[in-house]
This record gives sequence, structure tokens and C-alpha cells, in this order.
Amino acid sequence: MRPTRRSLESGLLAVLLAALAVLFDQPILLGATATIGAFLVGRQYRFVRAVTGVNDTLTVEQSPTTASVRRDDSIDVTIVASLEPSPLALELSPGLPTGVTVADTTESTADELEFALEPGETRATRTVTVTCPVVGRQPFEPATVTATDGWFTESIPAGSTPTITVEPRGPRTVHVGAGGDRASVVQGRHDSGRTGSGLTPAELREYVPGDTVARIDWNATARLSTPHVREYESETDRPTVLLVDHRDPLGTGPTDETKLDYLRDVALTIVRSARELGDPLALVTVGEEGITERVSLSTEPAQYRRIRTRLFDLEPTAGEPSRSIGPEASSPRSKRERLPSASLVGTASATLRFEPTPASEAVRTLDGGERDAFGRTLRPFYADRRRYRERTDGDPLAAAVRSTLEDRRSSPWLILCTDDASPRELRDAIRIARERDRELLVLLAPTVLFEPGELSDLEAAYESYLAFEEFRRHLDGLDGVTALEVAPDDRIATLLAAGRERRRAAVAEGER
Amino acid sequence: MIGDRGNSSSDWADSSDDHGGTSDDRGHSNADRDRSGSGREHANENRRNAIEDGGADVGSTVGASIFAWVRDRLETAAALVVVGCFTVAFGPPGALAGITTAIVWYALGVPYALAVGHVLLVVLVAGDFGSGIDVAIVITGFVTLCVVGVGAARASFPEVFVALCAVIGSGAIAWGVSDRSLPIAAAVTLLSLFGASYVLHRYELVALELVPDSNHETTETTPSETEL
Repeated sequence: MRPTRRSLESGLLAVLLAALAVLFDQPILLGATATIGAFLVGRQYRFVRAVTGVNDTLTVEQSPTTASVRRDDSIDVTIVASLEPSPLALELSPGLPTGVTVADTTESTADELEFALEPGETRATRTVTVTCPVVGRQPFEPATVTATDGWFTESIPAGSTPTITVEPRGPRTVHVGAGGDRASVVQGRHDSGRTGSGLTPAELREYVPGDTVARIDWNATARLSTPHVREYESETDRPTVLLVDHRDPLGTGPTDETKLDYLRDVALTIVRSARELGDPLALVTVGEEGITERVSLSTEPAQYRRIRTRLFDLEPTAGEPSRSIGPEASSPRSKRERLPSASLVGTASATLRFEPTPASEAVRTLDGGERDAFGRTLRPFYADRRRYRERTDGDPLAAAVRSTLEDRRSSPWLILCTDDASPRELRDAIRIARERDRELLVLLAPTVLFEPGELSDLEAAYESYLAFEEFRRHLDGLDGVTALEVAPDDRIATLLAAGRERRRAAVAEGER
Repeated sequence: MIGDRGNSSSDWADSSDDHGGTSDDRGHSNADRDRSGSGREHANENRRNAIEDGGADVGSTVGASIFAWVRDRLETAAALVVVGCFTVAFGPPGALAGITTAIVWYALGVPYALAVGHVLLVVLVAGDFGSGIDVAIVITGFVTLCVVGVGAARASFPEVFVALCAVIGSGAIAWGVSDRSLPIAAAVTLLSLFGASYVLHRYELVALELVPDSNHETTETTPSETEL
């Protein structure tokens, strides 16, 4: 319980009168001290009774609209307070988690989130929109209720304490398949189709001239009376080259859910599979102007870590900055719609967000103007990130495939992660791989499933998807080529459902 | 003037807050709200709604309305009692002192009215306008104002009882000790009041469960220490 300024003044008045009584030797003034003090004690007792009653009858519910959100998403939190009529004025401050921010910028401080229940009011409701920039479990604190009668105040915690779980952004459910049907890209045991030295017995056969004596299985020879040789399954591995396209069009999609993010997810799965099987793995990343990174074939544990790190670091290499802003996505076809990504960017309806500065832009900034010590220290890091390993003229994807396969004496399995934005370039790249008799897996991200607002018109989107599917089937039909689609599972399900509905309607129309 | 004022003091907030005075730190005390007509009407409407919803046990009978009307004006009546006591005890000078006290009550509230009233009482006694019985009459008026000021709007028995006990107790302490030494009487009075206030403060903390339970904390920490 805290006294208000009003009761403090009254208390000081009582003390002053006591002092005056002593000073002027007037016992009557001490009577004033006694009555004023008694008045304050009586008010205090009355306040205690009232606030105890409030505490007994007050219920506060803090209800977020959903218990699970994704980072930077907004949710509404409804606070409902109800109690029996009380002579006290109440102020209620929601106990929002520390990891959320109020979306409405006009209510930037917690004090402004308070709402009041006037004396006699029995119910009040307030809805607050919050954004969740921090990933993790965010428990609510109890709401703080401040009761006052003008003479004393007291703050009491009250209300439910739900927890919201903030999940990171990124691909949630990745669909890999063909025409909506799922397929697996994870490698299992490889059948080499050959026998030779190894550990797993394959067959027992009679000795033939030419076999070395060391290969004779003497136990079998003694048992069968004729020389026999035991064959073993030949141990093998599958050298794999992961060629990841991270040019500008791969940045299409909502924040952290771009084509590149989905392809990266699949690529990371392939890396994990290769590591578990001990397959040699190489990585080649392709930007706008050529190869940006090349990690040679190896089975060293550090190699897989390096490839994973590089995959995580991949960003679209657009000359133009930033791929996406906020929950809405950007499109490579509409660069003019993009906002500069450097530093703080925001829209009228969205909160300010920090976007990483592209290395090329950072270097330009650091090169220009007066260079201080900080800039001189910083520049080499950005300059190093910007560098292309090999610059190419013309089509960078085809050049990267050519360059990658020329150096290989073995026959690596080439996995090409790209999209359908440039069909001609993709055909050229595949042609080059086929000319070298290499097996090729093409993982394609259909643009139609990543473009912002594309699914608002399901008919048109389905038409676009059919065009993509025709292209994918064409590639898949080529000898030595397997083409699969990589897309968000929920979106492709929506699109296919729309397609089924359309076919059903067409059949019904035909029957009529 | 006072009667008009009393007509608009039937909100849930204590009518003793209507005298103005200093608003509390948060800037939204009852006094502040009561000064605004819209706030008063809003509170009245809320109260009416609460009664209509069955939230109040007073009911909507005529007798209950009369009771509420009288109850809300008790403090005004108590101020008039003070004026009357002054007049009866000291005649025209007393009436002037009583009216002054009532004006201070209206402008600043009960504590200031009690302070000014006692100062005027000292002046009247020093001016040889009355005797000991006259002082007792006026003090009776002050006690009435104090008691009604505490429980005017609610008029519940426990609150009035506490205020009455506090007045009588502290007055008796002051009277009894002042025969020996006035400074000691003042000190005992103040300490008694502070003590009563502190006891209420601690009682409230316990009633609201705002006091951390040390045993509970020990129980919570023990398993984790054991695990470690």
C-alpha cells in the first residue's frame, strides 16, 4: 500500500499541528492531530477492505489469439477484466512477455497500454496487437492491477499467464516431388553393380584361370573339393556435386521463405545424407556473374561443415539490394517494388526492421567518401565476401556446369538446385551435363508458388503451375536426368486442390 | 451552495473526495474524476447499471433510494453540525468560525477543515469567548465530521467503528499524557497513529498474499540443489 500525495499532505498536516501544539502549549491542537490521524487510519482501513474485496472478485484473462506464431508475426492479445462493483478506481496493465513488442507504434510504452475500470464498472476489455521478434517460448506475466481511492494505492498481480511459442521463420514443410507427388532425394545404399574387394560376401564361384591365388577361399575349396573363389560386394561411394544457383530470381518469396531458402533446406538434407554415408561431396554456388564458391570433393568431416556453413551463408547475388521486406515478398520481375535494404527499412503498416546490407553495396559505401579507421578495418571482410571465384561471360549456370564437370575424372552425380525463371539457360546447362554422360538431378523451385499474391487467383496460378509441370516433365524425360519440384507443401496442396476442383467442374459441365 | 453540491455526490466514490484537494500521483484520483461532470455522470450511470444488473443489494425501492440520498449527504450534514456546534458554543464569533471551517471543508476536504477548525477553536478559547464545555461541544462536531468523512458513502459499521475508536483512543492518549507533558503526549499520539497505520499496512500485505513466503522459496530451491 502506498499513500498518495493527498494522504501524505494530510499526514504532514497532523504532524505540523502536533508540533504547533507543543510550540504554543495548546493541547487543543493535539486534538486536531488525533482527529486527522484517526481520519487517515479510518480511510486506510476502508481502503484495505475495498482492495481485499477487489482481490477476491477480480478475474483477468490474457488471451492471445494463437499459442504459436512465427517470428515477426503479429497477434492480438485480448485482456478481459471482470469484478464485482467496487468503490475503487482500477488501472490494469497487461503482463506482456518481454520478448514481444506492441505493434501499434502510437503505444510505444507499457504505461500507454494501461486501461481503467471506473468505480462501479464490472467489466473491461482491451485488445493489443503485438509482434514477436524473438524466437522461443514467451510466457506472459500476470497483469498488474493498480487500485486507488484517491488516498491510497496498491498494485496487485492478477490474471492468467499463458505462453506463446514463437517459431523461427523459414521453410516449414518442404515438398519435394513430381507433379504434387512426393519423392525422396536422400540417398540410401548405393548399388554399384560390381563385385570386388569388400566385406559383404556376394557369391561363391569356381576358380577360373586368371584369378589370383590369394582370392581362393580355402574353406570352400576343402568343402567342395574344387578350387572356389568368394566374391565380395564391391565397396563404393557416390561422388556428388551440389550446384546451387543463388542468383537474383532465387530470392523470390516471403522473408525467409524464398526459393533459395527451400532449396537450401533440401541441399542441407543432401549434405547430411552424404555425411552419414561417407559420400564425397562438392559444392559449387553460382551467382549473377559466375561461380561464387567452389568446395572440392572430399569426405573430410570439416568438408561437410564447410559446405553447410556456405549453404547457410548463401544469399541472392542481385546487383539490386534486398530480396524482400517484411512479411510481403519481393519479386524479381518487379524490382521497382523493392525497397533499399540497407539499414532501417519500413512501410507505413509495418514496423521498422533491420535487413542485412549486401556485400557489394557495403563495399561501394566503404569505397566512397572519407575512409576512417573503422571503414578501413571493415572493408576487407565485405570485399572478400563479394569476390567471385570465376567470372563468366554469358550464362553463368551453363558455364558453371561446364567448369565443374570438366575437372572431374570420376563421374560425380550432379545435383542442380535452381528455379524455372530461365528455362533456356537451364536447358543449356542440362545439355552440357548430358554431353558428358553425367547423371543429373534437377531440383526446381516453381516461381508460381513463391510469387507474392500469385495464389490469390487460383485459376491463373494453376495454369502457371501446369506450364511449370510441363517443363519439369520435359526435363525429367531426358536421358539421365531426374527433375523434381521443391515447394512449400501447403501452397502446392492448395494449388492442386484448386486443379482437382476445376477438373471436377469440367467433368460435370461435360456431362450436362 | 453546499446543498446543491450534495445533489451530485451520489457516485460510488466517496463523497468526501468531492472537496477538491490535491490529486494523487497518478493523476486520476477520485477527486479528479469527481471534478468533471462527465466523470460523475459516468460513475452514476455505472452504478445504476450495476444496480439494474442485480450487482447491488440496495435494490431500487423508494426506501433504499431515500437511504442512499441521506447517506450521500451525511458529510454535508456533518459540516453543518460543526457550524451549529461553533454557534451554540461561542455565539456569533463561533458561527463565523464554523462557516470558515465549512468553507475550508468544501474547498480542501476533511483534514484541512479539522486543522483550521481546531486553530479557530484555539483562537476563540484564547479570546475568552467560551468555557471548557463549549470546547467539548465543538470537538464533538469535529469528531462527527471525522467519522462521517471516513464512512460517509458506504456507512458500513466496521469503518465507522474503526474511525471512532481511533479518535477516542488517540484523543484519550493525548488528554491523559498532556497532564504530565505536552511533548510526550504529542509523541505518543503520533506513534500510536503511525503504529495503527503500519499494522493495517502489514495486514493488507498478508490479506493480498503479497508477502513472499520464505518457507515456500526454500522448498523450491532444495530439489535443484539436490540435483546439482
